[in-house]
Amino acid sequence: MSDEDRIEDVPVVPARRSFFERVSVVWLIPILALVVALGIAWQTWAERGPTIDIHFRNAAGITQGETQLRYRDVVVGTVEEVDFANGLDEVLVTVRVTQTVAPYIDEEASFWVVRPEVTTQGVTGLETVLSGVYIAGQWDNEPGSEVRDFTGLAHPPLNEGVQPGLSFYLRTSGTSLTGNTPLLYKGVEVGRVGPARVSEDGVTVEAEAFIEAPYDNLITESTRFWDSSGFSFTLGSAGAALNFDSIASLIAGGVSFDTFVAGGTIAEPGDVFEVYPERGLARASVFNRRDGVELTLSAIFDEDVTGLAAGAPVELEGLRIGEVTGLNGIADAGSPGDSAVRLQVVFAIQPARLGFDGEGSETEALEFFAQQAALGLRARLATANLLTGGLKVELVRPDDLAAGALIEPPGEYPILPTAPSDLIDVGATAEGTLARIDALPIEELLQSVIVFLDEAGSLVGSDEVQQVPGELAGLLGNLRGVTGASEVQALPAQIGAVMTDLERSLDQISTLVAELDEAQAAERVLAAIDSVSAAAAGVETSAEGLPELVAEITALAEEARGLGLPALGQRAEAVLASAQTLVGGEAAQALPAQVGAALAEVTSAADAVDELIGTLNEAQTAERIAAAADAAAAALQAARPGLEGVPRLVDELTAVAQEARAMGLPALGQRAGELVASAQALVGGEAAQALPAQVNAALAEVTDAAGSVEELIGTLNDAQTAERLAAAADAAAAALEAARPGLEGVPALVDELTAVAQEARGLGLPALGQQASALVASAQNLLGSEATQALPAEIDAALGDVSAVATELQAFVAGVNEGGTAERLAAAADAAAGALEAARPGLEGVPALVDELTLLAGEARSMGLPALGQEASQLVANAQALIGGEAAQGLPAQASAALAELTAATTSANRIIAELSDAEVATQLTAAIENAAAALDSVETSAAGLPELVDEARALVARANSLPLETFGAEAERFAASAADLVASADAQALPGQLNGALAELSSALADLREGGAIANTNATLDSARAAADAIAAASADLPALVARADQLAATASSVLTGFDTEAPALREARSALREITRAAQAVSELARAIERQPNSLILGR
Amino acid sequence: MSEATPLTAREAGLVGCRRCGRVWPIETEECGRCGAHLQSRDPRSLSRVWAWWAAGLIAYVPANLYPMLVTSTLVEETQATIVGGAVELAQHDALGVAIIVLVASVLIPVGKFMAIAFLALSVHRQADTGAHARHKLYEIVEYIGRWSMIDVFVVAILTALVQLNALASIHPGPAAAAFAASVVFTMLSAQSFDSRMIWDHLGGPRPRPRLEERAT
Repeated sequence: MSDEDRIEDVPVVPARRSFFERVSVVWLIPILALVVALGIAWQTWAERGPTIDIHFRNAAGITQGETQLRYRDVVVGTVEEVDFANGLDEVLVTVRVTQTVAPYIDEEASFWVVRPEVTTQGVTGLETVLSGVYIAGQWDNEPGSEVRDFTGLAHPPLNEGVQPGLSFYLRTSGTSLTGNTPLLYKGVEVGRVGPARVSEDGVTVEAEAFIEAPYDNLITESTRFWDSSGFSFTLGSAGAALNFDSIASLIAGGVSFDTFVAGGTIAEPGDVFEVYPERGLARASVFNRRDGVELTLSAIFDEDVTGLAAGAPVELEGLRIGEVTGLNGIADAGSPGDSAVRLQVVFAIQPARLGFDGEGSETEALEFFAQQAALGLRARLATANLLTGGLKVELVRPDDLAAGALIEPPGEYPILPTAPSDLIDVGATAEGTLARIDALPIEELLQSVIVFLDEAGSLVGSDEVQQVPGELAGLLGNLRGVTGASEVQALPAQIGAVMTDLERSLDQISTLVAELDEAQAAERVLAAIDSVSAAAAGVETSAEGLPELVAEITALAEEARGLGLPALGQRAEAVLASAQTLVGGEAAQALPAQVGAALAEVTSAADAVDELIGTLNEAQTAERIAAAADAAAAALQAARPGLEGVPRLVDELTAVAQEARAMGLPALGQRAGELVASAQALVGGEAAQALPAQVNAALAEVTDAAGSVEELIGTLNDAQTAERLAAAADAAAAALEAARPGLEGVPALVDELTAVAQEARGLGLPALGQQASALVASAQNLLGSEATQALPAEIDAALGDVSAVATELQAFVAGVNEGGTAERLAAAADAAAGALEAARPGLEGVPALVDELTLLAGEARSMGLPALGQEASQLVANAQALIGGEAAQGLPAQASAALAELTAATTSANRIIAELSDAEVATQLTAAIENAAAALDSVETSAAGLPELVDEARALVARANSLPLETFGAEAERFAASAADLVASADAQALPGQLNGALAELSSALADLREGGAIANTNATLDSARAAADAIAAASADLPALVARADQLAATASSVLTGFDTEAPALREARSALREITRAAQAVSELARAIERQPNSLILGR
Repeated sequence: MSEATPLTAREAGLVGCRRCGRVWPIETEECGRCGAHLQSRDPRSLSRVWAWWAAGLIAYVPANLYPMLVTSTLVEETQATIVGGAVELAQHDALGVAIIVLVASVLIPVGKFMAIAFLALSVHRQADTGAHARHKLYEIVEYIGRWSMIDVFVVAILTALVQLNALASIHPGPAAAAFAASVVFTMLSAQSFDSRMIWDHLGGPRPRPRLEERAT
């Protein structure tokens, strides 16, 4: 047991691991792959379709394994094998088809190879160029019996794609059938014609045709086909005709068809149709078959029927209804009186074309024609073709009818009546034309033409004509350049502007010329300028004589020192005393105040005038004021010679003084001392002291006024016052002419006085002193007379009157201003102007008076000086008395007042002028100033003539000097005695009284003026102020020289006076007086310098 | 067997980690260093080798029968198999390219099939071939296997590059996928082979490791 229990050492065999333990899961993968592969292989095998064999003539392009079989362009198989059939006759292509289509491939299936094909109809199978050919299959959609062997078609079938349609055959016996062409209907391709082939019998050409479904209804039994390829050209009686269907068919060819007659049964497949060469024939064939009945008529023409042939159309109203079928000549025996052979035209008419259809149409047509013939239907010949001369038969209704009817002779054709033909014989016409051309004188014409051409050639060939084109071109170029220039383009506008300006300028010029014609301004201005020139020359000459005179006086003074001074001094003292009393008088003292009052009045008057002038401006009375200014200018011009005589008078007084110097100086010195004292008192008075200031103020005012005046002048120019200025210039000219004699006399007077002085020096001085004493005594007497003494009072009164006048004037002007009576004032101004014009002759007498005085002085010179001295002494005495008068004493005060008034007046004038400036009259004044400048130029030239005059005067005096002096002196003595007598005479003594009377009268005159001529006076005042300013300007030029001479005179006087006792009161007074004078002279000098520095200040007011 | 009989790790009672190379006692189940499963020999190695090998061989058949490359040009469409393409290349005087294609697509895969089969059989049959030579062969097979895909790569690149629409285009044929699968399968087959078995049974009968374990 134990042995048995012993476990044998059993070889332990490890348990075999299970299959799944040993085999990896990975084994699934190869198994899966295997399954997949097997599955694919089985599926491929199962889906393989059957193979079919197709026999082809060749296998061009068929590749084994690649070439496809397509049905409706869907791949349904692939060529598996390409091999030869038995005997190498054909190519056997084995195609494996898909199972889907395999049942349908039955015995009706057809196969062909699709290759690229280029025909006239286009390119087909283009895709096969790249992809290679393929085999197209076609079969119906019904499964059939299985057939596996086919014969491929050489060409694709016509109904490729198995479209519904109609297949039929076309046939022709001619050559008009072209294969592989489109089938056209009205130019649209509706089908195709297959390749043409000759029929089996070789007689006809046949082609299969296929028309697509919508159009197969168009094909009926009566459808006609014709070849529409190419074109046809026909030249017949209907003219030339070129026919072709379309360009496409012209190139590609084609068969067209049309159904000309409606109706007919639709064609069956397989029907055969004839193809006609052209449409006409095709159409005709329809009728040929249809109108079985024809109506044959005839017509007999008398005319030549050349050109009419069988087949010519017969037209009714242009519609072809038949054709000529025959021409016969007949000899109509039946026609009376006519045996000629006539032409019978037989023509066939198709009633169908007239609408007669069906049975009995022939009879109906015949009836129709009979009816129409009765109504006028006629047959006649007409030209069918102009070129060929072909004729046709027309059935028309001509207007000029002859009776006729359709004749129906038995057994013959019905005869239609005829009408004259409507032939157009082209040949005859052309012949006639040629004949006329032939008759033309062509030879002569050609000759003339040749001659003409020769001449024309020579003309054209000439150089001038050859140059014409070039010149023309250049001319045209220039013209183009000129006209194209922008300046020329702008020319019209500029011309327009210029024309406008010209028009305006011409208007202005005409106006100006008219004014100038009326005024004759130029002549007057020239005359005025001449006068001014002459006057200036005279002044210049006289001025030249002054130094000489001063020298003489100096010499005389030296000699006078040697004289017996005492007696003369006493006399002079008396004179001076009188003068002192005169100057010291209350009236004299009051004179400045009065003058001031008068000036104040004038000022206020000027204010009024200011307003008045504004009113006047408004009243447009400028013309009249201008006229008044004219007159005032004339008056002032007349007055100026008299004023210019004053220097001469001063000269003479100087001479008198010189001679007085020869008198007894002591007495004379005392008198002079007194006189000087009086003068000093006079001068030293407040009014006199205020004079320079007033003068200065007045001058300032005048300056301002001048500035305003300048503007006023411009304004006046604007106011077209040129004429009046011209008139004023005229007046000035006249006045200057009048004054010139006086001016011319001044040099002579000066010369004379100089000569007198010279001669006086040569005389016995003591006697002269005595005579002078006597003269002084006389003068003293004269001056001491009551009338003379009353003269200052009279002047004072006159000035008072002037003041009153001014006051009145002011009131008057105020009234005028208030009353708006500007027009009346203007009229008054006109009147004043007239008055002044009238007064001018009287003023013009003043120069003559001066001349006479000069003559008198000259004669006095020739008198015996001693007696002359006595007389002078007396005269001096009288003068002293006169000067010593209270009235004379009051003169300075009045002058002062007058100056104040003048200042005020100028202020007012200034205002007036400012207003005038506001009135824009400045430009006129400017023009006036220019005229004045021109006038001054003329003055310059005229001044050149003065020296000659002076020379002549000097020569005259020289001759006088050459006379025997003793007799001359005696005569002078005598004359002086006479003069003394004269002076001492009652008449002479009455002179002061007369002067007083004159002054009184002047006062009354002023009083009158204040009532009547206020405006004129105002104007005159303004003009005078202007003239005075001018005169001051002119005098200011001479002022330096004058001052220098005054200095000299003062120096001389100083040296004279040094001889006197310094202690003498008279001398002291005289010295102080001299100092005063010197101071005054210095003031004047300063003024002169100021003016000299700024001459314009006189005008411009600065 | 002139060379000295090598001592295997298994005979030394050791097992090496195939991941990190650490050597452990043979009874160790898990690598103490990297945690990998330790196995001295893979008993199903040969089975998997043969499975992959069969799959690769099955795939290799359509890879050579079906077209590898479908070249569509404007004119035609060409389907070329691997060998056909190589022959065509050779006919166009591109002999070098043809050789490369042949080597890469035919010679190498076939050689791999043969080599793997030889190695597997040699383990079974205790072949006399030297273990060193067989190991070298195994290394060569494993190294060169990947180059078989060059044909697939060429096809892929050509397909991507030549796409000119209608003008010319290249599509991969059914053989491309099959060939790629074949290559993948052979590579997996080679990888499944436990090369350590080459060294077993040298100079002695084939050991039965499991048996001995159970015996002990």
